[in-house]
Order: sequence, then C-alpha cells, then structure tokens
Amino acid sequence: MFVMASESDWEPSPLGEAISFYYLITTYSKNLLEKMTWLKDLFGTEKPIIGMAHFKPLPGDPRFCTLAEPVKATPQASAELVEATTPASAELVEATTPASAELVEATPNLSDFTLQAGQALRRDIEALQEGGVDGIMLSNEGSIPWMTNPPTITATSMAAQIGIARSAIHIPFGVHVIWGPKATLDLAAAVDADYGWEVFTGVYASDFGLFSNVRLFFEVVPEAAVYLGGCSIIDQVRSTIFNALPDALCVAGLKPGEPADLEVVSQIKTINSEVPVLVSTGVKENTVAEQLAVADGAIVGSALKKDGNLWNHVDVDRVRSFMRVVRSARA
Amino acid sequence: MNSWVNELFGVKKPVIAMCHFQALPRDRDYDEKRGIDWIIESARADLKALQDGGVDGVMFSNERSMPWMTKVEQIIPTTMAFVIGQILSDVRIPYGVNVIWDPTACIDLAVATKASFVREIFTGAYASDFGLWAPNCGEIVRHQRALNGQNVKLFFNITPEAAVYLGGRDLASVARSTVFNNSPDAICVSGMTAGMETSLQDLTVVKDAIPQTPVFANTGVRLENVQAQLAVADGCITGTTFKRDGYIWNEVDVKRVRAFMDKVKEIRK
Repeated sequence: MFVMASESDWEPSPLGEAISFYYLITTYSKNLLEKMTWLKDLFGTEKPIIGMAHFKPLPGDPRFCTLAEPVKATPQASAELVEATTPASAELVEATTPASAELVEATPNLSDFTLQAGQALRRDIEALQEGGVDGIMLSNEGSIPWMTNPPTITATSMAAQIGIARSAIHIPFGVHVIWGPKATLDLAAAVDADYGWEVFTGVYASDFGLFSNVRLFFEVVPEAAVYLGGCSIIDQVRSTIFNALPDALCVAGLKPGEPADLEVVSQIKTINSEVPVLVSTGVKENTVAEQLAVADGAIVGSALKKDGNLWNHVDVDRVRSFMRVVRSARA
Repeated sequence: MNSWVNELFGVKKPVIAMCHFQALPRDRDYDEKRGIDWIIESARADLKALQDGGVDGVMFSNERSMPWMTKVEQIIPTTMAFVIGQILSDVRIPYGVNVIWDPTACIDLAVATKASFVREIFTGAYASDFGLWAPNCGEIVRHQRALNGQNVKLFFNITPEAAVYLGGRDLASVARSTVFNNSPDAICVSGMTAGMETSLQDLTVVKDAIPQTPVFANTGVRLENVQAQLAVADGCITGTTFKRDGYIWNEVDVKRVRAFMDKVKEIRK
C-alpha cells in the first residue's frame, strides 16, 4: 500500500521516486478498474439502497437509561426517543417477539438492556431485509450528541448487540461509529463487516492495509460542517480521490433526513466517473427516483422509519413501498 | 458473609470456569485465514463443554492475546463483545469477563455484554513482566459508575501473576488495606502464572486477614488439590485443568470438567 503522510515527508531518490510513482499509478489504475464493478458485485444491483438500522442510546451516552426493573409489555408505548422520559416508554422495552422470548427464557439472568437492545436491532434488520433493501448500515444514531473520538464502550456495546443480531443478517452489511473513523474500522474488523462509513479523508490512509477486505465509504460532504480554508468541493474531492483511494464517496445534507445537494453530487460525478457516489441523507420515497438518476446509490434511514421519524423503529411497509419505487427507477 | 456469591451462583464455594478466546485481530497469533468465525466457534464449543460438565459460572477472557497489554487497543474488547453477543443465547449460567490486563476495558466489556462480574488487577504497584504496573482504582470505579455499571461485581486479584509488589508489603496488610480502601466484591489469590497452584499458605493468610470478604483461589486448582483449596477458599476460578491433557491451549474436555465437578459437589456436601 502506498501511503504518503504529507508532501514534505516524501523525498525519495530519483530511482525510488520513479518506482514509487510507477507503483502509485499501477495501484491507482487497478483500484479504479475494480471500482467500476465492486458496488454491483457486492450488492447484486446497480444503484443499491443501503437501509440504516440505528442503535438505541448506548451505555455511557447521555440518553442511555438503565432498565432496573424487569421489562413489561407496553404495546401502546411511544417509540419516540424524545418522549422517552421514563424507561418504560422507550421503544426498546417493547413487547418481545417470540424469538426474543425464547432467548430470554434460555438465559433467565439476561432479561436486560443488552439483550433487549440487541433484539430491537434484530427486528429493525429483519424489517429492512423483508422490505427488500440491498444492504444494511448499522449506526449509533442514539448516541447523539456525537463525539469525534467516541469512547471504547460505544463500539464495544455496538459489537455485543451486533453479535446478538448477526444470525439474522443475510445481505451485505456495514458499520458506522459516528464520528469515529478509527472506531468504525475497529468495529468493522471485529464484526467482519463488508464496509464502513465515516469522514475518513486522508488521515486514516495508513490503516487501509490492515482492513483491506473492508470497503470504505468516505463522507466527503459531512453533515453540520464546512471544509476549513474555503477549498472548493470539487478540489477537495479531487484530492481525496487521488490521495486516499476511497471505495465510495458519500454526500450528506445538513443533518439526517435532509437531502444532499444534487448539484454537488453531479459535480463530483464529473471528476471521476469510476468512483461511486452515494447520497447519504434525506432520501425519500418521492425524491429517490430523481436522486438515483444522478447518484450511484443511497443510504436511507429516516424515510424507512415509522412515520418517517428517525428515532422510530423500521416500518416494513414503508420499506416495501420505498423499494418498489426504487426498482421502477432502476428499470 | 459472602451472600452475594451464593446468591449469584446458587451454590456455596462456586467454581468459575475460564472460557479462553483464541487470539483476536491485531494479536500476534491471530489466525487471519480462520478469521472471527473460528474464534466464535471455539468459544461456543468450550462454553458448551464447561456447562455440560456442570460448572457454576464462566469467565470469558482473551488468554491468547499474548503478550498482554495493561492498556489494550479498542479492537480487543470490541471483538470480544461481538463473540460474546454471538454465543449469548447459549449461556445458561452467570458469566463474567476479563480483558487481560486492562481493568477499564473489563468494565467497558462487562457493561456492553451485561456480564455479572470481572476479574482484574485494580490496586497496588508492581514490578512485572509487563513493566511498571500501577492501576488507578479510583478512576476505574468512577468509570464504572459513569457507565451505570454499578452492578458489575469486581474480583480484585491482589497477587498478580508474573509480578512482585514494589516495596515488599506483606500479603495480610495488602489484603486488609485493599478491603478498607476499595470495598472489593471478592479477592483473588494466585500462583505465579495461569495453571500454577495458589499457595495454601497465602490463601490462609488472606482469608484470616479479611474474613468478611469472599476469597477465591485464582490459579492452578485441579482434581488433586481442589479439596484442600476449597477448605480455605470461598470458591475458585479454574481454567487449565479443564483442558484436554490439562494443557492450557487445548480445547475444554467435558470429561475432565465432570470429574472435577463431581469431586466439588462431594466436597460441598
């Protein structure tokens, strides 16, 4: 793997320079050739839809609440995280499915948070798959407000819950530890994920060798942020593609649920048509056709949740209906 | 005295069996070809043999992450959490975790997997094979509290393996001040390495010094010495003797577990 820390560090001999340059070019072109097909190879379709399964607040998160009492079924309980003022109203204490009841019975000491949360994640994953998405992204939305260097407990709790849910997953899946690129790579390696999604640019290039089987989605236009120094988006992405060899690029809107600027997406597409560009926020049933006309795929969360609310559980009917629109857009 | 021990494990003088994980990603001995799936399947098989053999509790540890670190990398507890999550539906007895030799990561993993207990070096200052060794117990316990992990029971190993207490304090006074300063849920007394017998004299000294605190024999308990060890100790943590041919890196042999547990049940009568 060719890694260049910075231009000033790079002062090889003329011969070394030539060899390094040759290596860079061959690696780079091989990488690009491969890029033309990997998205379709992995997901089995052009313009894949990656559905998000969001974790509830995790231990150590501000919104985490412990469930000291045994969980009671509360069918009418609101799923709204924002309304979860008491443990009983949190969605993760909802009535357990037969599968989880079985598990609880087999492990009498474990009718508790980890298991409940793992089962809730499992149900969201099953709903996404039943509704027909092409891939899954497991992401700790519930850890809001997010940290750029999340503590060990975050990825570790996610790993435990993914372990509980893993046997239900039978399509490609990836992970996202918001906003920790290193933690994302650690989690991806720990759970053997197919891809990771983060704001990686440049800094983490040296880790590529170790996690070579994990595809990296670079969020080049992150939420709630602006590139320092006023570099144009096109120049920024051009250098990211050259320097960091991303597997795919993601363009986000201002926050979850808000659409990416399609003009920016199409500008990015003109730089290099071989690196897939995905839109990663604000993709909805009534906009997805237009968005997929420009983008190579989409990561979708809020639109697939009950009432289109980010903090609700995945609604299989909404997934089905959404995927019907996607399939006719692809045709 | 040690009512929480009897309550959690449902017996007096419980036997906590070690479930040693294969080497993990980033470890020297990690087997990339067999990958994570092999770690999961090995752990699942050992867990089954231990439970079928009748042990009272199980502790998951990264025994094969040698040489160990006193501050581990994130990948270690994260992979362990994934493995435990995958086999959790098979677990029928109380379980604990040990991220060797990192007490903070132990707390992280225990909270993430809802484990009932952890074992580590939480106190003291040692010269050891791992360098200068001086954990900060106050910080660790505050970390535990911040993660809502107060229910996790802490087994304090006060005679760490491959280490000597700096300044040469005697074991009885270490035991007494550890209990006063840190209120440990249990104390562990160990031999020099995994598999080496805990000195009966050390066990007796510690038990006499802190009669109100559960004291566990932490290494080298086997069929031939379990009667003598449990005559003093309130329980034991046992790994090597359950492995095929009594060799630490072999898989768990259910016949050896049964023979050991039959003997223990007799002793408990």
